[in-house]
Amino acid sequence: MTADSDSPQAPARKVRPRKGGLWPWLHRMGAPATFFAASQRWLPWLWALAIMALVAGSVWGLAFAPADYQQGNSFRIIYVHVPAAILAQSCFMLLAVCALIFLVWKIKLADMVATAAAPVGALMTALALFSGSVWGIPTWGTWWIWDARLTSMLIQLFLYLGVIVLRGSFASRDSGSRAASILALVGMVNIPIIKYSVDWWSTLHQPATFTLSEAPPMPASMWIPLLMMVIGFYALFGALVLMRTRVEVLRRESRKQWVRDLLSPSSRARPDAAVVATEGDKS
Amino acid sequence: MNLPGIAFSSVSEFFAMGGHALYVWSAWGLTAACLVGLVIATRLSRRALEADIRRRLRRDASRHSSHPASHRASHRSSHQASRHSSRD
Repeated sequence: MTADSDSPQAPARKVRPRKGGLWPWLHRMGAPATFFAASQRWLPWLWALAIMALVAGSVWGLAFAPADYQQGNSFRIIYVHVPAAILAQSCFMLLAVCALIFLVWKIKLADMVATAAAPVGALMTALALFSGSVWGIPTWGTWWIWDARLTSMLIQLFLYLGVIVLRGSFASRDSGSRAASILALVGMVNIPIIKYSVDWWSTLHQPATFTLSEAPPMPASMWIPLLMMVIGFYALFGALVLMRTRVEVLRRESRKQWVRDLLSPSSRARPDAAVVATEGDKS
Repeated sequence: MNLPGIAFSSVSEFFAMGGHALYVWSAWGLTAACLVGLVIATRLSRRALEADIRRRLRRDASRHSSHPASHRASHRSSHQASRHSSRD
C-alpha cells in the first residue's frame, strides 16, 4: 500500500488552496476519493455526447448514406465495425499507459482504470471480429481467412483475455496488477502489426478509412456518419470506463473512511453529496 | 417515406437492406446489445457492491455498540475510539 490512497484525510486535500495547471490537477485526481467525487460530474457530459453522436450517426449511416456501388447495403456494417476496431486499439494503448503509470509511479488509480477498461476493450475486439466476419460473407465469400489483419486482431483478443485472466490469478492483488501491467506493455508490439498489416502483407482487408494525410476514399455522405459513430464510440467507451472505474474504486477502498461516510446508514442523502459534506466539515 | 436524401423508398426496403438484412442487422444488433448489456451490468454491479458495503457497515455498527446504528457521525467516531482501546 502506498501513501496516496492510504491517508484517511484524502478528501481534505481539496480544502487547501488549489494550484493551477495540469500536473497539480492530475496529482489531485490520483487520489481515489477525489477522483470519485469529480468523475460524477464528468459522466453526464460523456453520456450526452455519446447518445447524440451515436443516434445521429446510426440514423444517417443506416438510412441516409447512399448504398455502396459495389457492396450495396452490406457496407453499412462499416459504421459498427470500424469504430469497434479503432476502440479495440485505443483501449489497449490506454492499458499500456496505465501500466506504465502504475509500474513507474505506483499510482493505484491507474491500475483501477486498467482493471475497468480491459473487459471493455476485449468486447470491442470481439465485436470488431464478429462484424468483420459477418461483413466478409457477402463481400469476400468467406467469414474468415488467416490473413495478417484478421490474425493479428485475433491475437489482440487473446492479449486482452490474457491481461484479464492474469490479473485474477495471483494470491495478492499487487502481483496480479504487476503481471497484467507487464503483459499490457509487452502486448503493445501487436498494435503497429495490426495497423500496418494491410500495408505489409497482401490481404483481402481494405486499407484504413481515416488517415491523417488524405481525404477518405468515399463521399462525405458516407464518411461523416462514420466519423460521428467513431466519436460516439469514444464517448461511450469513456463513460463505460469511468463508470466501471468508479465501481472498482469503491470496491478497493471499501474499508476507507470516506467510503464509510459515503455509504453509512446515517448518510441517507445522495451518496455523492456525502463526500462534499465531509469536506465541508473538515474546513 | 420520401425524406430528401434517404437511401430507401419504403420501410420494408429499409429492413430488407437490399438482400443483406441478415448481415447488416446481426452486426448492428449484436453490437448494440453487447454495449447496452455492459452498461446495465456495470450499473447492477455498482448497486450490488454498495448494498454489500452498507450491509457490512450496519453489521459493524451493531457489533461494536449496544445501541442500534447511530444516526450521527459523532457517535460513530466515539464507537471507533472505544473499539480501538478495547482491542489493542
